[in-house]
Amino acid sequence: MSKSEKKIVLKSLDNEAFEVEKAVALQSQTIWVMCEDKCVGNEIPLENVTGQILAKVIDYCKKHAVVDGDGDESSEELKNWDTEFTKNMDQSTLFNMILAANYLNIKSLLNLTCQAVADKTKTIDEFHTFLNIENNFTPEEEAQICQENLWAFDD
Amino acid sequence: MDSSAQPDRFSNLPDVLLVLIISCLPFKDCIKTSVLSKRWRYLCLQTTNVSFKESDFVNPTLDETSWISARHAFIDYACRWVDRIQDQDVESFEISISRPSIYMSVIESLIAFAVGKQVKKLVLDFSKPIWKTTRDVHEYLDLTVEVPESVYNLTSLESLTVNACKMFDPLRFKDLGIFKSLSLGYMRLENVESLLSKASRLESLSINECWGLDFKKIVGNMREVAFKNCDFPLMSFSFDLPKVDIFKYSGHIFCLDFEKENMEIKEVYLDFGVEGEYEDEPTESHIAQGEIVCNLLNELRSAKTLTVCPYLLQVIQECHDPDFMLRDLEAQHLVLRTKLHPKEFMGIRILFDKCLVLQTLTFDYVPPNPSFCSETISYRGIYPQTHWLQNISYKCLIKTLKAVVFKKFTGSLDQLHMLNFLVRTGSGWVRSLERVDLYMPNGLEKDEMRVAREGATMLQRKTNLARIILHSPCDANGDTRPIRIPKPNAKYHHD
Repeated sequence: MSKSEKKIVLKSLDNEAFEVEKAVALQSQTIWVMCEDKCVGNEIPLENVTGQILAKVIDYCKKHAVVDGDGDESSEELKNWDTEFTKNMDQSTLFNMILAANYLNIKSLLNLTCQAVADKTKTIDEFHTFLNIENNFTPEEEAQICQENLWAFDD
Repeated sequence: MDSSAQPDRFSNLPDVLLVLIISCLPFKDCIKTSVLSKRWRYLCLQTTNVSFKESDFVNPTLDETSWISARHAFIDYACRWVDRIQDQDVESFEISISRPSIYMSVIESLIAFAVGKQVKKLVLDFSKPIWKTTRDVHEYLDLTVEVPESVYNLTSLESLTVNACKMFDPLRFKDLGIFKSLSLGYMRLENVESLLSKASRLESLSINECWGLDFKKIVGNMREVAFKNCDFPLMSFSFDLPKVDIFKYSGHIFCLDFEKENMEIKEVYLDFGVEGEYEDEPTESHIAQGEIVCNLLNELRSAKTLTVCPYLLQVIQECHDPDFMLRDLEAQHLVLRTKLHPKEFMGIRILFDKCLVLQTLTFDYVPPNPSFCSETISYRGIYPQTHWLQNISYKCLIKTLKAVVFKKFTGSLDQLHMLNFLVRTGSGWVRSLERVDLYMPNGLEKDEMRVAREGATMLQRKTNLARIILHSPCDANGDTRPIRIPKPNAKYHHD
């Protein structure tokens, strides 16, 4: 394989181009399928992901591509890196990361970002606020649900 | 909140992604999402992480009649739940119930459900919350549930917890090579050596309150190994754990021998609390225990975080010449679980002396029982009032120690004597200490909070190098907040 074939260009929704190693990009099943099908050239347009989010996704893939090849020596370090990676992401970034991980079909990143949402919300009120959900129950309906699952609401 | 500024984005996610998120929540929190909105009403039923824990459903302080009906409601809830589930995935399943005998058939069907779903993680826990040691368990009366053949045949399991099952035999598993995490408790456990030789991918092993452990040597590539209060028929055993990151041992003092040192070990936790404590002069056996503890610390000396217990602090001084016997420890973080009894002071000094690169020192204070009066007690010529006033310091306190954390800080005199020693600045001493975090225990009265605050203020007056930060007791969310204490005077003070 020649040098240029090892690289691949990912183009974001807002036309930002990222040149990355093929091994990095192929962690995305979506990209892997596109490359297998040979339906694209060396440049892959990703119409659902902005440059800002794609940069983060590439960071993640770079980190995981290198270490996976290294054996399991630093899996602890990788875990710490993952924690740091999502620690300071705000609601909107996490939301977009989940969508991107889903679209690009990177299972480990999808699990990581979903877990991060769960970790950021210690109580159900925080969950409510973080996800910014509008409650459309009447008080009676809400009381009814609580009654059916009394054990979960008794504290 | 302005909803146009922060639209309800998460509700735009498809259900399958929302289910992924709520599957990461503890089961109880997942159920609570059913009141978020109409869309969320039945979403929780699709969680892949199902857990029926008696402790979540039944308040153990209920009287007998209410307890029985609460348990019925619990079992009923679990049955209705699994009946509703059709062809969706379940990755993790837990059933924890004490005194399972009257629900045998239900438990069988719940386990069959988990097997049918080919779960990756399974918890079967039939222990009683009141059990404290292996002696509380009556093997033939209390252990009634037998792990069915179908569980032994599962080839999907990565993580398994089994507590208090009858005639459990891990060697019957069809494929031990798939396990990553194994936790076993409240049972007779034999053949651990052959179990480990087959469980080649095991990362975490935890054995709690088990008996009949007839192994001589634990070998494996586990990253985490924990033993808690087990009964060992043999008086010594050894470890060959080249990849271990975290090693925890609670129980009696034994000859634990490490064959190869792991230079990268991150965390070691030692608790010999079951040994009790002793008064007066040490006996031959205490001296022997001192030697064993010294050897153990030497073998584990690469640990970055080291947690020790009051008994270790007392008994370590009994070995012949601990200064010579004990090698330098590499701990950057030392956690002292201590009653701050004069019995423990020599042990604390020995560790200060040997931890040359210590950066963080945590006191996890174990309150003495109420009748004990710290000011009147002395031990082998050690008086708590004056002991820490001696003009002795240690390399780590002068050069490397940056942070002190004190848990359950009440401002009592024994605590202040110790902390005063640590923040004290003397002429010619370089001190690296930057901050001292004092955490008050929960349930303090107003007057007691005042005492703690005065204690913190006093400590701050002793130092203008380190910042003393007093933290309030935890609020309902488990968070603490700093309480203002006067800033140190710009002028330099020392006593």
